[in-house]
Amino acid sequence: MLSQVRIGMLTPWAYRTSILLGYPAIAVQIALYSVVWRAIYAGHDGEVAGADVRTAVGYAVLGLTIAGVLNTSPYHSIASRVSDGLIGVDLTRPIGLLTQNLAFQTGAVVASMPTVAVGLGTGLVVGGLAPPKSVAAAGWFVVSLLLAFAVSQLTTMLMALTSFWTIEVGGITMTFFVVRTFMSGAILPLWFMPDWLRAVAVALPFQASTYTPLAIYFGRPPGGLPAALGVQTVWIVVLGGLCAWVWSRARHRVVVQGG
Amino acid sequence: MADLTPPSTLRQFAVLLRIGLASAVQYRANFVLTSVGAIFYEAVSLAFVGVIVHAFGSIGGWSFVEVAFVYGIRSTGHALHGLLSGQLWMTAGVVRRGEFDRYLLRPVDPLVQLLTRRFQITAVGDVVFGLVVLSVTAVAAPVDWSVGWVAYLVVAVVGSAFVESAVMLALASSTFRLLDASPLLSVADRVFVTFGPYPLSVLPRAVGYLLTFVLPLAYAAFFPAALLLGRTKDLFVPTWLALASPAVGLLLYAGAVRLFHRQVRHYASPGH
Repeated sequence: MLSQVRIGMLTPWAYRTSILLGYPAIAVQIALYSVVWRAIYAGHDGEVAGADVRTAVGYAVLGLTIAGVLNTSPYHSIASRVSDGLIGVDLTRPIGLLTQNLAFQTGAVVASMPTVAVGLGTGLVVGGLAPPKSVAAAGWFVVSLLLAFAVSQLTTMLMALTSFWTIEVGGITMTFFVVRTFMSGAILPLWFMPDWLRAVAVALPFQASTYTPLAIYFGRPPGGLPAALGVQTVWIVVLGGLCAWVWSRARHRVVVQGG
Repeated sequence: MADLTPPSTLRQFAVLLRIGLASAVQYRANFVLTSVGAIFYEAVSLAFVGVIVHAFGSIGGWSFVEVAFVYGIRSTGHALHGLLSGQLWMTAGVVRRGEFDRYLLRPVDPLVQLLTRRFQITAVGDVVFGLVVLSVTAVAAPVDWSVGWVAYLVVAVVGSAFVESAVMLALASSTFRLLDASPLLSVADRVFVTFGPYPLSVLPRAVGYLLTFVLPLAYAAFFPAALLLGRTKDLFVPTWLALASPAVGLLLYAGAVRLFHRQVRHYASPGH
């Protein structure tokens, strides 16, 4: 299994340019959002929706960094293995496909660790990184971040599993990326949203993968700390169950292309 | 004796575009879903602006309808740009794999061949979405519409596409020397997407000038929108320059085409 983690770590680095391209893209994005937030706040003294400009910029720095690391692409896991026919090889391995896949994705997350340095470094340069509200907030932030890691990996995997039914549908994946980015609160904190939109976001699993740890960091866990962590845990159980169920349905209709 | 004059560049472009479209619509489900995915992508960036204006009341004194109008011009311009220049993202691959060798052998302008190598499916969804947003916001926006202003809006949208295409084409031209210009393209794309919908007058003036004279985003939506909305006091350049935005787009594009043709000379075939 560790070997799968290793493969997951090394695979992205085979496409070095595309990884290296990701760094300036993240840095530029963080710099741009810090300018935009400051401009938006320029006409408003103090807080809007309970957040001041420092919080908004700090949120953008951390949010983009976390999303850049955690939100792996379902393309590189099951989806591309199915369309290349390599899924046949995976199925002959003595480890379950879901375990293999989670290990692989974990490797991909580890491989994208330099993003943290780039993101936080840019945050320091643009002067937008505020320290956490308290030591406790920092501690619970780390706990919540680990839960967020599980939620985001399971979401990605659930999405990847649908490729057993839909082999070549760029549109669905694109929609998934976009909805995830928006609803996870990676760029826009949920606290700015109008009530109805926030209700939609809260009902979806994506917020548990990015927004929750960030909100804890800035001292405003959604629904209080126990509820926030509880919701994350519930999503891990639900998504884990869904993945297992979808996979049990899917294994009967695996098409090994060119197999 | 048959007439052997080659068809005009524009005609070549149209023919190749039609062939690309014909092959793209063969995969109907993918075509439809990709266009829908593109609409989602655009809708989310509008939602972002919408949420901000909702939370803040206005941005720099610009109401939601006014900001959405800027967004409408930008997204329609961006969609047309995608239709024209979407394939520029593939320049690095085309050069690296030596596909460009073929372009040089055929009696059609290599740039036309590059731009029409595949039909940009996402642009279809983008165009539909952009036109809907633009029409809705143009009606809702406090603009004193006259035939002249409507004509100006149409020209401004086309100019917006040329501004963005010019920037992307100029950057893509460096592929022939650098072998991969996509980091430059994605940085420029980020700037256009992130700042595109905002009234640039709210940004620090230095950033405003940067987006006027270095990365010319201002001509792509903010200047024409400010004129149409009668917000000339928000302009940070002379009115005539803002009014000339569509012309600026055309000039920049003409310059970028020239630049591309000069840079092609540095093409070194990977050897096949």
